[in-house]
Amino acid sequence: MKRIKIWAIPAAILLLMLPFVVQMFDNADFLLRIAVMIGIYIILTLSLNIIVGYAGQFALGHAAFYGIGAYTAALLMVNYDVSFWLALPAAAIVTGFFGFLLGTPVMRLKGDYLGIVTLGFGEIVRLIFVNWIDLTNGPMGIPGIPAPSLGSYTLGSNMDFYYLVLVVTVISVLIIRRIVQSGFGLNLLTVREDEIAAESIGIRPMKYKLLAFTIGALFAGVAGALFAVTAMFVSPDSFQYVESVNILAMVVLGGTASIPGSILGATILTVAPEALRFISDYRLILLGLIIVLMMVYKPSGFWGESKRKRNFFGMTGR
Amino acid sequence: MTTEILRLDEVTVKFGGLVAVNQVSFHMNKGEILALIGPNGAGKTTLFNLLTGIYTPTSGAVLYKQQVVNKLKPYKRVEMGIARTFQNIRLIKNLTVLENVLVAHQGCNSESVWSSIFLSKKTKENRQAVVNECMEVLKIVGLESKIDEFAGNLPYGEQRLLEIARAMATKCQLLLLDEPAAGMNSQEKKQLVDVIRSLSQKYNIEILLIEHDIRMVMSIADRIVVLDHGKKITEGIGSEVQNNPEVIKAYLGEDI
Repeated sequence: MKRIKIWAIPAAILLLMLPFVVQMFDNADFLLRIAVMIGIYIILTLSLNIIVGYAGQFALGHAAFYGIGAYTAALLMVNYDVSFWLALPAAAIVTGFFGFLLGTPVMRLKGDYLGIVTLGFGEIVRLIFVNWIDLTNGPMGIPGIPAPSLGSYTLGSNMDFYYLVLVVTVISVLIIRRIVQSGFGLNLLTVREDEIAAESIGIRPMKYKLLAFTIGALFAGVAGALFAVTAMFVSPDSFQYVESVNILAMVVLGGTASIPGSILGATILTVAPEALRFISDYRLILLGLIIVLMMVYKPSGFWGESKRKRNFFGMTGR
Repeated sequence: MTTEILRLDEVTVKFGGLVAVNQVSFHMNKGEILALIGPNGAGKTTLFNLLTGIYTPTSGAVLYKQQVVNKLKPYKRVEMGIARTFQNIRLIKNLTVLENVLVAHQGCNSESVWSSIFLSKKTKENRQAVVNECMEVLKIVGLESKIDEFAGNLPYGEQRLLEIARAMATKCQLLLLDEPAAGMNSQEKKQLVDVIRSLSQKYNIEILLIEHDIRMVMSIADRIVVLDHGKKITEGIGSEVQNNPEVIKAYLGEDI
């Protein structure tokens, strides 16, 4: 049953060759940096999509998890000389744990109330980054995060970072796809649509919402660790409230409860502000306008749930 | 001796000053089809919500398989074998017919996240087994050819049947049907009666149904319990209940 889709091979070749193509331009490093950010945002968008799209929980504090992941990885690598390959899973687990901690009380709330509480959580985390100077170095941030090494080779250039992020992103996408295309994914959709119906067929809404929150936070932690190591510097500025909104916009623009949608949304909203740089001051206005128009005329996003694969759970024997 | 599956003992439910169910007692035997009838507002649906755990009784006891289940959460009761359908259909409209049944299956719910990620051969086989069982239930209600359609696109009668199939997929022992024939035409009702009968025979389950269509109730119910204003006014087999003056009074009012 292993059928590789026709577009997968050229897409893979394109992604692998991209850094070499980019070398032809003057601003190759800048372009590679954007590519790295696209990868990081794809992971972030997918992780938020588990919470917002599949579980239907309107969470507004995703930048907090992103930040916790970044700071965990940065602190472990700078203060304790932990290798990146250990810091990455550690950041994921720590962030997942925070997701679980926040989720336990908060999952009893619905809709706007949940939005407000998660928003508050995001601000608290950012303020901790700013004010706990002994640990986080405050607003100055943590500079000098060492580059990861692979054997004797140090992944130091932007091209190395590109491949690192590419590998981690692809693995994350595949894992998240497996997670949502399962009984768990179906249960999440059921809980999202109708909690009473879910309970009537033996699904515990709390359990599934909490699990979604934890998994979402965990992958945000992965994205955070990638950010820390590719930027070589973390500061509270990177994890402000607007970042949460930005990620949410990527989810909604791409299409909720859709993996290709998240990839598209993350790519478009990372590239667009850069591509619109030529109109400098007006670019955010234009971007806002595009999002508003999009929501009015195509509220399901670029690649919404209606395009999802039906009956993915198993073969139906026909 | 017939074995008793469900017993309600002087059950009362109050909402503030309103007594929705007033000291109702009845029981259900193994393999029985019991109908719950009564005029609007008699407390039938409240009684259902009591059995499925949405409400807890103010006083009295609900016993299922000789166990008091007064305070068990809905999902716990599903584990024990009580499943229901709703008066106003509660399907997941943007899941397909098959997926709606799958989510109710224990095998679909119990798959761990790890096994979904690694998707081993064994997991795939488990999934296949779950799908096969769900297909079997769908065949009984006659929806096996529509598995790829979204539940929201089905005609009304088929949505009702799908809800029954979903409840059956929980492997329930006691099936509660809340007005399964509401809004159906006579053709669909006939099909529904056949489905209920074949479920009862094939799986030897107990079925408790609320229904307004007296002709249908008479044709499938082994016994009938009549409620009015939260009280049980009588119970018995079809003809007994039909000729009971209290029942006639409840439905048609008194002589002037």
